[in-house]
Amino acid sequence: MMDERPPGQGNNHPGASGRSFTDSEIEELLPSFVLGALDADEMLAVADFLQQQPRWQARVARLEETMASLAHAAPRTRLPAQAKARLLRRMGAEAPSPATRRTPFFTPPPERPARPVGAGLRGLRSIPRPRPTMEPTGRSWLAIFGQSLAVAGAAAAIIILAGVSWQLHTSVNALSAQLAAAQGELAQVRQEMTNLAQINTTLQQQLQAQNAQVALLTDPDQSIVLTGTEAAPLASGEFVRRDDKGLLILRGLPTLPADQTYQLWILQPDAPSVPANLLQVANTDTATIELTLGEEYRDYAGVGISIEPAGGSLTPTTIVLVGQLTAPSA
Amino acid sequence: MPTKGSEVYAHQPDDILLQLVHRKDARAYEALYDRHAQVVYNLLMRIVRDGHTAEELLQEVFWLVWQKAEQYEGAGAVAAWLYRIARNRALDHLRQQRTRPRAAAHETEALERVPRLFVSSAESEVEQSWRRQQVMQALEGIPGEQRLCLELAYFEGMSQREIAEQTRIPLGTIKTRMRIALEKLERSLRAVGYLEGDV
Repeated sequence: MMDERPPGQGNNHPGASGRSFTDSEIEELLPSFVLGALDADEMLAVADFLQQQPRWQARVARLEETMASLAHAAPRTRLPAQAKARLLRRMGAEAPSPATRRTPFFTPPPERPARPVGAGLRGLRSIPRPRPTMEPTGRSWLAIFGQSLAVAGAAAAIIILAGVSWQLHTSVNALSAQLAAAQGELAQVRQEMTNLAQINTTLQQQLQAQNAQVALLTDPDQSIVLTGTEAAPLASGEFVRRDDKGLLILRGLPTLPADQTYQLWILQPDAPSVPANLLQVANTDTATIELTLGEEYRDYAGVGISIEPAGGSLTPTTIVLVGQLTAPSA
Repeated sequence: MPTKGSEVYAHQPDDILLQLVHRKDARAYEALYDRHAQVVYNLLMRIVRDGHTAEELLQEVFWLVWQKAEQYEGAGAVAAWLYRIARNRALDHLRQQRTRPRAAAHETEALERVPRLFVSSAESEVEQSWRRQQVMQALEGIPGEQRLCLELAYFEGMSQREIAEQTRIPLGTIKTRMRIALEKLERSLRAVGYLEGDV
């Protein structure tokens, strides 16, 4: 009926503490010993005795398994759902061991521990389960979690890199646009500078011309006052000369139709007048016209302004202004 | 929903799982947890009668398993080793507190009626239910005065002398009742195949 008993029942078995128990005594004490219900000195004595008498270990193991079955008598209560997750998180926070990292997908199953003497009579008998010939010891949930974490991390890194790249791309585009705009502005400024330079050149030329005119007017070699004829009694003017430069200042000339023009004539002392420049008189109130004088002005007696058909004439048609040299040329 | 790999682990015996846990195989550890966490938690709750404390102790027990799996020497069932760790931790906690409120009987019954929301696997559930049924039937076969000694010692951590003082029953009687109760339990469980060995 009862299970195996250690041999030598009824004998005395001294322990290191000096206290000895008979087999019947130790048999009597062991149930309370495994329950931890003995007094402290008895617990120590029995523990000491068992260390010296290892053949009782099997009996102790059987009683402990019996005692452990009482755990199933505890009322059933709800296991906190987060308890497992919390535990697994704690495991995840622990640095992975080499075994965890390098566990192959299939490894030979670990050998079962050698069963001690009498082990066949102890232990909880499990509901039979199939024993696989190969057991997977590969990637655990932790590895999967780690891989998922790594994948998630990689994905996050890619997203971040993509975001950074997009930001860089956007920044480059913006800088390129700014550079193009700046280059456009620079070209515009350069064009404006060119225009201003041209204006400056023109103004300087005008200034030089005006200075030349002022020089002619203030210090001429010859000066002829022009008087309006009956065809233009209100007209007046001056002709000044210095070297080969001449200047006509005309006032009060009537505006001509498109098919007529004013023409300058060089008056000769004893010869017909010589036709000279066709004059573009834009402002009939006061017009200033520069002239370059040639050989024909060497011995001339005066100048006259006439109205001619467009294209000029070889002989004067209608003289409107005329003037004679009053003093011998220098 | 367990994966195929998890199902394979769920079919491994406790001692194999524990060896794999010693190699830091997390899925073996998870399978071991799924198989025994409920019973361990029931036991912790029965002893400390406080959900928060029981959960903390549950964490402590299974963390110890993860860290110290090699301390299992192969003598006896893994479940017994695990439950012993849990019981010792819970009783140590009680001894430190010494102010544990006594729960009324209806509180225990109320806990009994709380539906289980976390079920590890159908097979584990069936096995644990079967074991629980066998233990409860075996306890029912033990006379009440003997069973009381067993329960006071196991769940309350009381010594024979404390039980004798509380029940005002001679110490020798308590010793006898306790021994007989545990031996009866052993025989009953062995008879139904709960424990290995001859009846």
